Amino acid sequence: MREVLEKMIHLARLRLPDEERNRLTKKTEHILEYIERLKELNTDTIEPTSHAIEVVNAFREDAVKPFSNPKKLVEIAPKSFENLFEVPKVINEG
Amino acid sequence: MKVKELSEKLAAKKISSVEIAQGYFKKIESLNPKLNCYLILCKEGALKQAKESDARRAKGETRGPLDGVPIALKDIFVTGGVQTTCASKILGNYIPPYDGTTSAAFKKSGAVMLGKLNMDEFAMGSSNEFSAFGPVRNPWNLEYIPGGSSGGSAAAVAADLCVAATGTDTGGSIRQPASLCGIVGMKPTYGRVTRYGLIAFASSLDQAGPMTKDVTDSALMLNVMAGHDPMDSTSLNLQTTDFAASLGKSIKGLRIGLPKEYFIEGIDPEVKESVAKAAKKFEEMGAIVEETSLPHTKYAVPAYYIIAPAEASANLARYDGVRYGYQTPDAEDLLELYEKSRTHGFGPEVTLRIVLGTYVLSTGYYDAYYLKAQKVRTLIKKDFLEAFASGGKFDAILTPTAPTPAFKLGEKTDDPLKMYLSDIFTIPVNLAGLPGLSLPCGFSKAGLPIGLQLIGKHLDEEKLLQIAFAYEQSTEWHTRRPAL
Repeated sequence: MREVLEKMIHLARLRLPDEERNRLTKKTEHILEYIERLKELNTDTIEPTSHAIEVVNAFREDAVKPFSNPKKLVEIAPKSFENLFEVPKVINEG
Repeated sequence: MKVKELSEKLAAKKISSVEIAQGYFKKIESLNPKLNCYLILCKEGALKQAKESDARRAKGETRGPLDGVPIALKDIFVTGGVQTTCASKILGNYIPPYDGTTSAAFKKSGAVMLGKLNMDEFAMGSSNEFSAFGPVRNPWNLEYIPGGSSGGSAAAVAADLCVAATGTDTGGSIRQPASLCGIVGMKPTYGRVTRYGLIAFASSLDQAGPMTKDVTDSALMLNVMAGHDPMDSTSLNLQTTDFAASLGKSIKGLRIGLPKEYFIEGIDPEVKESVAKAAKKFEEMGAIVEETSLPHTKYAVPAYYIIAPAEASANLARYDGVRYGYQTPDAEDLLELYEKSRTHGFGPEVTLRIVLGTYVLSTGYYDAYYLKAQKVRTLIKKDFLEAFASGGKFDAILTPTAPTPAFKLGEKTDDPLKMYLSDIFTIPVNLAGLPGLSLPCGFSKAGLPIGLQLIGKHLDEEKLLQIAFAYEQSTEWHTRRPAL
């Protein structure tokens, strides 16, 4: 289990110290054990429900609506430069 | 003070909105250090709104029953220009550049927003102990939790630190804390209230609703919150109704079902007794109360703990430390920036659910967990629909809201399952998308509130409010307030 969870932690873009990974493994195992009880039910012929209320596509006009303060969207970023979000260098020089 | 009561006083010009707001801030200043329900106070903004409301009234205008009434929002509602943290470090410095639809609706109603209320981080929790900004305490006994995740809302309403509040409910987060704090909490039908501007936890389950001191206020608040919103594609496009219209109608002849699976071993005897007494009360009022069965009830919690974390892991992928919120100060490359920002930004319970959600959605496990849970969801929904239709023809289902009254701080924080089971009676309602309402029905010997839950048919909030109002009128539980 721990190995599988290591992979999940990476997929979820988390970086946990050893102690924390142990805690997480124990708790996840405990929860999964409880979830196992769903196996008692035969659901072969049952359709899945993704939303309790059936909704059809909610189409709306593909029209441009002005946003009151587009500058603010960039300004609230932890680091920004003019109208760009700033991140560490992504491409290495060859 | 209640919405209706205050609204009448304001209309009669017995008091001004500014005076009322000032009074509430004074009370908050003295009691919030004990209870920790408010995360953010909006004194300047609130007094400005109150002044504007008073000016409207002086001219003989009013925007309705909420005009000039001080309310507070759970800190999951996006409020333009006002800090919105979702009780998480990852959003600790987030000031949204826009208003969510609900926040805008309250502004339009003339309500005065006192501030933002504490909660479990990202609404994940049942005790309000998973807030990054400290736990909330139950106003009835400070050693006890107020319930969660809308614990700040429930405590603030119970302690009268606001007239009414909003909450959100993904698996019981309005109803369970309402029950534990002795107030009225309503989770409407999925789609009734917009999710636009509601920080997402599990999108197929999340639903916002009112938390109030009585049923009338619940209806008045729902009138402001409900309605179609083109910004939320799951918002139901229906004509708006006046939810207060059914209040006062007789409940004679209405059929109320008591599902036997909700009165199982492990339920606190005082809770069981209070709900049984409430069932008798309903009979006295002319309703027909009969036992019924919802056979898949025990599979609701395990199905929920697949579906909710799965949706949460996808929803919380957006917190990347780049566009808003917390960013780690020391990252060499982009991956490290993501990983460190997320790891330092999320608390332990949120981390656990993200990892669990990623696991149940991953290749090789998807069918066994996520698809299985969605099929079980179908069965749970079917149980309810049968009880409402041919099976029992019930108008509503009556259950306890929570299996126990409030528990002590620290009692369940180490064992996720123990914590999750405090939502055992509320979770099925979210899975089925039904409306559910919790209202006070007694007190334990230790003096802690007990709540009952009424579950209604899809879109039948009016009937729930009608039944709840009838019960409230014939009991005095809702009139009790904690001594603080």
